[in-house]
Amino acid sequence: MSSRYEHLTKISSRILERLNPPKSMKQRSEKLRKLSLPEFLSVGVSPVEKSEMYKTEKDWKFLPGDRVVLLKGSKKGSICYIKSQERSSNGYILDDNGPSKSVPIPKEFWVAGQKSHMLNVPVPVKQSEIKLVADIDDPANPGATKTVAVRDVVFKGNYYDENYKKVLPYRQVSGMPDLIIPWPKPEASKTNSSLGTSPEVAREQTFWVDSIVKNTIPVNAFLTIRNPYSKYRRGTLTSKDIARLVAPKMPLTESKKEYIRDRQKLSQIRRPKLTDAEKEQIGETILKHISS
Amino acid sequence: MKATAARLFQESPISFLTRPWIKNRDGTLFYGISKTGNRRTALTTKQGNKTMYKGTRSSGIGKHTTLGKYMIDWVKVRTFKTPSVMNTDLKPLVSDEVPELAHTFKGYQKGPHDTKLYFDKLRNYIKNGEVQTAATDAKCYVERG
Amino acid sequence: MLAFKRGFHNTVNTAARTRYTKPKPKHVPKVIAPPPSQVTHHYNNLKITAPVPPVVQNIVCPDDHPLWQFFADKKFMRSPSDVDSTSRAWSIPELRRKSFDDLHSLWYICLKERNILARENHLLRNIVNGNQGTFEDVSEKIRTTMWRIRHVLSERDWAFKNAQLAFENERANFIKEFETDFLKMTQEEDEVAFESLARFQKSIFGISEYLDENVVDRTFVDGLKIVANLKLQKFAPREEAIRKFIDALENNRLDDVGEAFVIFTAENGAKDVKDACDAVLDLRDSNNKIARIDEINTVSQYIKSLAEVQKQPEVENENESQTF
Repeated sequence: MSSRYEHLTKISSRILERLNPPKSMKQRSEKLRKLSLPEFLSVGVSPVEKSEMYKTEKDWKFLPGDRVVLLKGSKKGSICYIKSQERSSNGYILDDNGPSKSVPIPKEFWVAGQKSHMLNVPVPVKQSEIKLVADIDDPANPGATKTVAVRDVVFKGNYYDENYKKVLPYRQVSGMPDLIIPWPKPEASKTNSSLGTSPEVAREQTFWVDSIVKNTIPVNAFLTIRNPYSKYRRGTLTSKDIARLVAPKMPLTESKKEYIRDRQKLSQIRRPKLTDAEKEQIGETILKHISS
Repeated sequence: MKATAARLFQESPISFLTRPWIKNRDGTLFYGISKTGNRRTALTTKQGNKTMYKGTRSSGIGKHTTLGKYMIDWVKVRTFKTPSVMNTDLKPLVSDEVPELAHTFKGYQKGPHDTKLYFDKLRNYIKNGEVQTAATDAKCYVERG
Repeated sequence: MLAFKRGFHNTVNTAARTRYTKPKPKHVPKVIAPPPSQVTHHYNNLKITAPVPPVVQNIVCPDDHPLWQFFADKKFMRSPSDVDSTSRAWSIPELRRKSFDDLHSLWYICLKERNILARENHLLRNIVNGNQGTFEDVSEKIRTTMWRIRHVLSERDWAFKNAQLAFENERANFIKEFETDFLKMTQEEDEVAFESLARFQKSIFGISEYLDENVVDRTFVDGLKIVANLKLQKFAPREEAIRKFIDALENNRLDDVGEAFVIFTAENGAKDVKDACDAVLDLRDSNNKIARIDEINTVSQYIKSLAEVQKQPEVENENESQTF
C-alpha cells in the first residue's frame, strides 16, 4: 500500500534517498521509466543526478534570452533564443527554431486553444549541443558588426548586475579576455509577491550588539534553536575520560634501553671542527686529484 | 529483422495515448510511473488496521488520581511561546526586488563568531546608539558582517 | 549432646482476649463522594422551538474562526499562479540584522504559511490530483528561511558567549577608552555624552535605567563605582567644590559604594552632582562605611527601597517615569 502522507514529512524522503537504485540498476530503471511514462509527460532527456545538476551561472554558461546556434540534429545550424532552463536534466529549451517533437495528448490534458490531438513540444538540448552566438565588431569593415559563434566562454571577475539583482561573473570569450559578452536582460517577472517582504521592512535593522552581560536570546528558546540530543553533538572529554581511554605507556625493553644509552653516548661525542690548515690540505688534495 | 505491424504497435497513435495500458479503478487512464508506490516508508497514524496505534508523543502529561480525575502537570505540557510583540509586517519570503545581501568579514578571522568583531560592534553601539547601517538601503548588496 | 532448655511461651496468654474485652467496632469504609466532573445547570425557562433544518444557509462559519488560519484568502485552494513563486528565501545576512522578537515573529509567520501550503499540497496530492510543484517549491523556500533563523540565533549566541569569555582581558582597555572619549566631550555635547554613558553602563555592567530590570552582582557594583567616578570627573572642571571633593579622596577615586550610589543617582548636572557631594560629606560624618563583602546586599537593598519610593508617588502622579 502506498502511503498518501509521505509529503507531510521529510524524514521518509531522506530514507528514500539512501535507498535509491544502485548504479548497476540505473539503466534498467531508466528503461522502465521510459516505457511507463507516456510521451507527452516525459521530458525527452534523461534526468541527471542531484549532485550533477547545474547550480550557478558559471555552470549554465547561457541564460534564458541568450542567442545560440545548434550543432546537432535535424535543425543543425539554426540560430535560436533560449527560452528557459530545464533544471532536472541540465537542458535548455529553445524557441520555435529549436528541436521539437510531435506528441499526442489526451483530451483531458489539452491546453486552451488546442484543436488537434497532436502538439509540437520543444525538446531540451544539452550544453554540448549548442554554442553561444554574439555580435562583434567586424575588423574587415569598421563600424559594422558581424555575428559569430563563440567556441567557448570563460569567467573572470565579478560585478553586481542591476538587472538580475545579484553578483554575476564577467563572461569572456575563451582566449580573448578583452571580449566580454554581456548576460542577456531577464524578462520582467510577474509582480505577484504576496509572500515577499517589502524592501524597506526586509532591510530595516532591528538588532544591535548592545550588551556583554546579558544575552539577547531567552534561555528557554535554546531548546528549539539547537537540539541538545543531536547525534552530531559531540561532548567534551574530561581529563578523567582521557585517562581512562588512553592506554598506559609500555615499559621499555632491555634492548631498547641499551639502544637509547648507546645513542646518548654517541651524541655526547664532540664532532671535531675543521681547522683552516686542514681545510687547506683538503683543498690541495682535491686540486691535485682534479689536475692529475 | 524486418519491422512488422505487430512489432510496431507501440508506436501507433492510439497506443501512444493508452500507454502504459494501466487504468485507474474508475476506468480513467493512469499516467503515473507506478501504481504500487513505495512500500519502505514508515506507517503514519492514518494507516494500518484497528490495532495499529501510533501516538503523537503528546500524551503522558500528568497522572490519574484515585478519584478518577486527571491532574495535568503543566511542566510536561508542550507550550508554544509566541513573541511578545508580533511584527506582522514581515512575510515568510523576501521580494525579488531586493538583492540578496552578503556579509564580508575582512580582518575578522573567525567571521561572525569573531570576538574582535563583537567588541567593535559594541564600541560602535555605545558611541552612536541604534544607527541603521548602509544595508538598510535596499540597493546595497554587500556589507561588513 | 548439648543440653538446651527453653521456657514456655507466654505471649499467647498475655495477648489472649478475655471475655471482658470490648470488641472493636466494625470497620466502616470511608465513603468519599467524588465531586461531579462537570457542573451542569438546568434552565427552568426552556421552550420548544421549531427545528432548525440542516441546510447550507443555516450553517454559518464565523469570519474569525481560528481554523481560517489554515486557508489563504479564505479560499479552498489557491491556483498555482496565485502562489508567489518569484520571491526568494531570507538570506542569512538579512536575518542577522533582525532582533530576537522579529525573528520569533518571522518563525511563526513562516510556520503558518507552511501549514496553509501543506494543506493545499495534501489536497492536490490526494483529492484533486493536480500538480503540486509550485506549492512544494514555495514550502521548501520557507523551510530554508526557517532553518536560517535557527542558524542566525545559534550563531548570535556563540558570538556572545565567545565575546563574554574574551572580555575579561579586554575590560580595562574598553573602560579606559570610553573614559577618555567621555571626558573629552565639551559642555555643549553633554546630552550626547550622557546618552552614551547610559548605553555604556547598560551594556558593560548591566545597569539599566529601569529599576526592575537590574540584577545586582559584582559587575553591577563595580560599574556603579566607575560611573559615579566618571560623573565626578566630568563635572570637576566646572565646579570648584567637586574638584576639592575629588582631591580629598584617597587616590582621587570614590571607593565606598554608599557614597558612589548617592553620586550615581544624582541628576546629570553640575549643581546636582555638587549637592550629592555635599550629601556624601554629611553622611561621612555618621561614619557608616560599607565593607566590600556587604556591598552587593547593600546595593540591592538601596535599589529595592528606591523602587518602592518611586512606586508610591506613581499612584498620585502617573506621569513621573520610573527611571534613575
